[in-house]
Amino acid sequence: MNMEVIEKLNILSGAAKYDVSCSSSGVERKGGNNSVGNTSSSGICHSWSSDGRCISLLKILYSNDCIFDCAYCINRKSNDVKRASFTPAEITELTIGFYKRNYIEGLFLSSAIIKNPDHTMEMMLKVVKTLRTVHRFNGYIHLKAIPGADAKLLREAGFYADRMSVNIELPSEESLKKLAPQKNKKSILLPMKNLGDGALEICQDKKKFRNTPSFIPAGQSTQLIVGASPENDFTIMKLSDNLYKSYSLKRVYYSAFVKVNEDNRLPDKNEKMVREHRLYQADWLIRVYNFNVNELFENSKKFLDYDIDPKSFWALNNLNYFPIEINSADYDTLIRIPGIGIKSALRIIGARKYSVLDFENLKSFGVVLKRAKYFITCKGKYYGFIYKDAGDLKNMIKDKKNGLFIKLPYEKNLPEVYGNDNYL
Amino acid sequence: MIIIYDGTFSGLLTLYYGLLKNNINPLLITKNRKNFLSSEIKYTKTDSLISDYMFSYIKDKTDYDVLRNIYLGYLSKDENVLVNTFNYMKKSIISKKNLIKDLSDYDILKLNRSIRNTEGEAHRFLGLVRFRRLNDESYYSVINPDNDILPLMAGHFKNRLNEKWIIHDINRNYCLIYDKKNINYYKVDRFEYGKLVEAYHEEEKVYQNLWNNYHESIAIKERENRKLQFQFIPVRYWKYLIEKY
Repeated sequence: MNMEVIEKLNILSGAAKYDVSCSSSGVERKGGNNSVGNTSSSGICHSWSSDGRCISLLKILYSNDCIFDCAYCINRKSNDVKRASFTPAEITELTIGFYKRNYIEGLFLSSAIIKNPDHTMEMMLKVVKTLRTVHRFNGYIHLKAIPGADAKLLREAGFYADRMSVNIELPSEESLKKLAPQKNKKSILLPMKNLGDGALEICQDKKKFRNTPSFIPAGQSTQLIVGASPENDFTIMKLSDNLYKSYSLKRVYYSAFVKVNEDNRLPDKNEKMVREHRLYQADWLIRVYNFNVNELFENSKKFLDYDIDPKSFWALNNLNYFPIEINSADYDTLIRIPGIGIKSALRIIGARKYSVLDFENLKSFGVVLKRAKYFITCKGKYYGFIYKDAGDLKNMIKDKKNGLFIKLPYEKNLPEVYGNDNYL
Repeated sequence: MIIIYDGTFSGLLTLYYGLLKNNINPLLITKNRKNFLSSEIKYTKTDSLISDYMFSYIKDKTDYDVLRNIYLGYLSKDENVLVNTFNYMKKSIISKKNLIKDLSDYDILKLNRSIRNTEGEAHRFLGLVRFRRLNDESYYSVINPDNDILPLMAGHFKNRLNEKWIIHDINRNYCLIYDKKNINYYKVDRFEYGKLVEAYHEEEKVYQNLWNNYHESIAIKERENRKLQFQFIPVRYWKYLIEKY
């Protein structure tokens, strides 16, 4: 390990930080006597960076020396940034060294496109293959599939990686044409389809033959940038829903647009974080809570309501379902109550076998009642406040920062002295 | 009644046997011999025959999970939970099933909370353990957890790291040592964290440097959110990490 590697690591991890995915869960692999490591199905976070995101994988690019010129990307060809490339040996050494010190759970390897997609994919495959076969590394590996690379290479990589992902980048074909002219819809969706089919095929083989090798056991994911192009939330959620259903993806990651390049094709400002946040919330609702995309949007509006979370939004539009009696409602009904998630619902169901629950019980379980109290009854009694209509209730459950504290008129006309920061 | 036991799990099981047998409801169970004002203080003796009997008795009457929950209650940082654990055990044995989900019961709720705390901390430390490679090719790490979580972590690292490793709980002054075959517990008499550097392997500093660099460059500067970071790793845990905030 020399100084050169430190600099390379700085450049190539700094370039990889805009990739969102960091999960290390979903695979259980045992360690052996001659091998390094194992994988735990729960996933483990090893540290948290100063932006509050978890670090569980060594997230690096193989190289940032790109031949493509995508408007939003920091590594595009026309940018004047320091270029660097690892060698496969450096990456394996780094990964094993970090892994043995328990810094990381595995490797997340992505890359800019050097020379051509096939060459890039070949080099990445070489890294993963060396890790798995020579070093017998059993930790988690997330590999980016390079759009346009040969299907055979991608398939071979699938036998070594735990998860693969093809970035869909932007929510529509027109935006892709405008901002990433060298990529097209086919080059992204085709590998996704191939990987999905491969996983399905192996899954069926496994039922017949015991020794079938596993093929991307943690499934596929993808990522798209929100706010770099004019698509609305409804289009994005429909797209995700479609990806989950017809490509059997495990996750779609959203990344609010951060402006790193000056380009007249791009919007002037960074996208607001709250949009990304609400999209993730909506994503969980359709993926885990069995919501339908149409339920999360009002007929005319194509954007999510950023003041309240999507589940509360649905509840306010369907007040006729509420209040729900928590002592009798089934699981599917319970998880539709704003503020009650899967854990709370299971706790309620576990506890009500023994006794009839009242409001105090719920509080002591740790069920978050801030929003839930307006939508439930306990032993037939309602504990919220009496509201006239949905708008009234909405004001009540908004985030406190914007909603509950009414600005008093004198705050605007305060004397100079109170405006001074030293007094506050 | 205040009862003082020797702090071992079999000591606790022996004690629970005595409490069940004599139908006593304890006020506090503790291992610290403080000066209590109350006159009703009882000391217990540990008997491995009795604790073995209790072990199989609980397992036969209820199920293995009850035993596991009692053990988790024993590992908790909060000594008051030992009384709640006893009550939970008693109720489970009477009704002949595992009552851990009956959260409307105060004792069981308290036990549930501390189990969640202990298991949560154990899971968090699976990630926060930082091994340092030493001269003698062993991997050493120091942690300062609130609960006694080393027994819960042993299996994970045994499966994972095929090296000689040591995990040292500095709050309780004992450590786990794995010699590529077995895991053993040792008491630590004297340890100076500052002097650990002298025993580092020559490569160690390079990797620590690499990790610190990585930790810094992976953050998106425009979105700094220290508050969130500290929610995930409270300040007290940073002390023995490699990276600095």
